[in-house]
Amino acid sequence: MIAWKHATMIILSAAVMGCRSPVEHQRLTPTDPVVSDSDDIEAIALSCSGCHADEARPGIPALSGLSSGDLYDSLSSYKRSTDGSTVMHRIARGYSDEELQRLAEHFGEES
Amino acid sequence: MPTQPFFPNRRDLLSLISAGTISAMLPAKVYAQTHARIVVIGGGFGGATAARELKAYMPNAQITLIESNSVYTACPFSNLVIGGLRDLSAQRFSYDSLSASGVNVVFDTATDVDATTQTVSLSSGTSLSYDRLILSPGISIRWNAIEGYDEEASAIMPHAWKAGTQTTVLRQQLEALDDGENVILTAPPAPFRCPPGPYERASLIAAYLKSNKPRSKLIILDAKDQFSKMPLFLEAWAEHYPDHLEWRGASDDGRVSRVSPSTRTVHTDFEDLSAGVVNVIPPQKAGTIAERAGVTDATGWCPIDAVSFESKLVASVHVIGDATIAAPMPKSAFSANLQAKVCALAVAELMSGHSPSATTLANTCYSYITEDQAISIVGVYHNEDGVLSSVPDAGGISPLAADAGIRQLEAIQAASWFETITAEAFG
Ligand SMILES: Cc1cc2nc3c(=O)[nH]c(=O)nc-3n(C[C@H](O)[C@H](O)[C@H](O)COP(=O)(O)OP(=O)(O)OC[C@H]3O[C@@H](n4cnc5c(N)ncnc54)[C@H](O)[C@@H]3O)c2cc1C
Repeated sequence: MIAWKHATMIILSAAVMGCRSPVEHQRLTPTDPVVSDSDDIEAIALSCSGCHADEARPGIPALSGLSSGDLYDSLSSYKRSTDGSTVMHRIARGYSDEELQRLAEHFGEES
Repeated sequence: MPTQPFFPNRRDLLSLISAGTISAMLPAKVYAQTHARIVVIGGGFGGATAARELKAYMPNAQITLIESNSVYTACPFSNLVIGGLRDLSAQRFSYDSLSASGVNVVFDTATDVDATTQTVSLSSGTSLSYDRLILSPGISIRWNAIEGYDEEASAIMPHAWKAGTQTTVLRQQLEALDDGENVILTAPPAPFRCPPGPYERASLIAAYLKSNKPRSKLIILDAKDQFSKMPLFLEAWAEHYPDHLEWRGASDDGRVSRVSPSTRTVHTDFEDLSAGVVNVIPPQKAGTIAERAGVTDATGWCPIDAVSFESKLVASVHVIGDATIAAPMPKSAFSANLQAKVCALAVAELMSGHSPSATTLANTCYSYITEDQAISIVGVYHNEDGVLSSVPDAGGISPLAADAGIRQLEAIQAASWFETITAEAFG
């Protein structure tokens, strides 16, 4: 039997780091190239889709329907927690607060 | 375990789970003007991902993937097949979805690369020109690095370090093993494909012996004194396999220098050991086409600029995955997939007159320790100035002395990771 609190941790860890590959994105009209401030955050976000798909899978849900604010709170809580029991605790520590904020804006919905 | 203040309650969680799939669709960068010819050699986790992403970034470019086999057999989770917990058919993936996405998939073997004329020769006799070439050939075995261990020997003492027939041979040998006969697994010196892989395999073979051949035992003869996730594996072995698994490091005469396949004997400096099954995981190097292309150095692996993954030795040739020198990033399917995505973006930028910039990369590798428990290792990396380095104070391994629930959840996550990573590469 898996303890509920563990399941909770996993779901949250998965929820905060969902990412998309460019394949799944809506396409722009073919004018080259789109350069914006989100440039480097898109590259940073590439790591996330190694685990997080567009659809939920057991223990690793999709990132969707969350506000940027909630996402940032979760990511930053992972970073600050001394608990290392999920991969997300150990991953979040590798990013600056600003990177986490921009990842949250990249993936989250406007609140 | 202390309760963390930020854990959602059950109701929050349910609404979170039911929230559905992608909602806010942000546009990705698309470089539609380039008609570049990009050739990718090797359709594994690195190459298949790269081809797919290149086509997405550059819809009007000509992306060709050269792969020797029409069906890919994945190594991750093949240790479960060896342990009798999974069918090899679950490891097989076709290239149909990659073809459907507009990638020109060619089943052929690349035999040579001419960097001056920028052409690739194929065994069928055709040749292909490229503007940029991406190599993801994986590993090749260093035959005879262990004396007597050549391709013929691997039919008797399987390596099973490339999944497929070798995986089946090792599984069948374990099934045929008499109760009371021992199994030997030899682990290679670093660097090699999948650093925790030999120890995951040892765990799952020991689990099989414990339930099916209780008088047999697995002995690991290691060319090293330290290995990935070592404290976690040692803890798991003491708990689950005290009578079925023994590890001998290099300083305990664990290094195998010679093998005698006919008697299934391995030779260390001071001892000759025979067993019913011998799994030799041999020393490795980059896939041979990398050597032909001139992108390997004296180590047998490929130095790269870790921002673009372009070879440091040959211009316009990029290398990703196991073949690269990317330490501290491990040679994993996760790394190969991520390096492919970073490289595809860099190549799209380069073909469109932009220069790629440094970023942050990560890796997560799960290993099974029992049929339903797993452990993990994580790393976060920067690639400033083209050199990979670990981000201090990030990453690390699962907690020691954790309860079974934590291990079981990592096993569930591992299975989901496999679904996602194979979908990323093969659709
Ligand atoms: C037992 C085991 C367990 C593992 N478990 C995990 C795990 O849990 N997690 C994880 O992240 N990683 C795991 N790995 C590691 C993972 O399998 C590799 O890191 C990954 O496959 C590397 O991808 P790649 O693209 O570099 O090479 P590969 O996936 O090996 O792909 C190389 C491809 O290139 C083709 N090729 C080579 N040369 C040519 C040529 N000249 N012409 C045409 N085609 C060519 C080959 O046929 C092959 O399909 C494991 C490995 C093993 C052995």
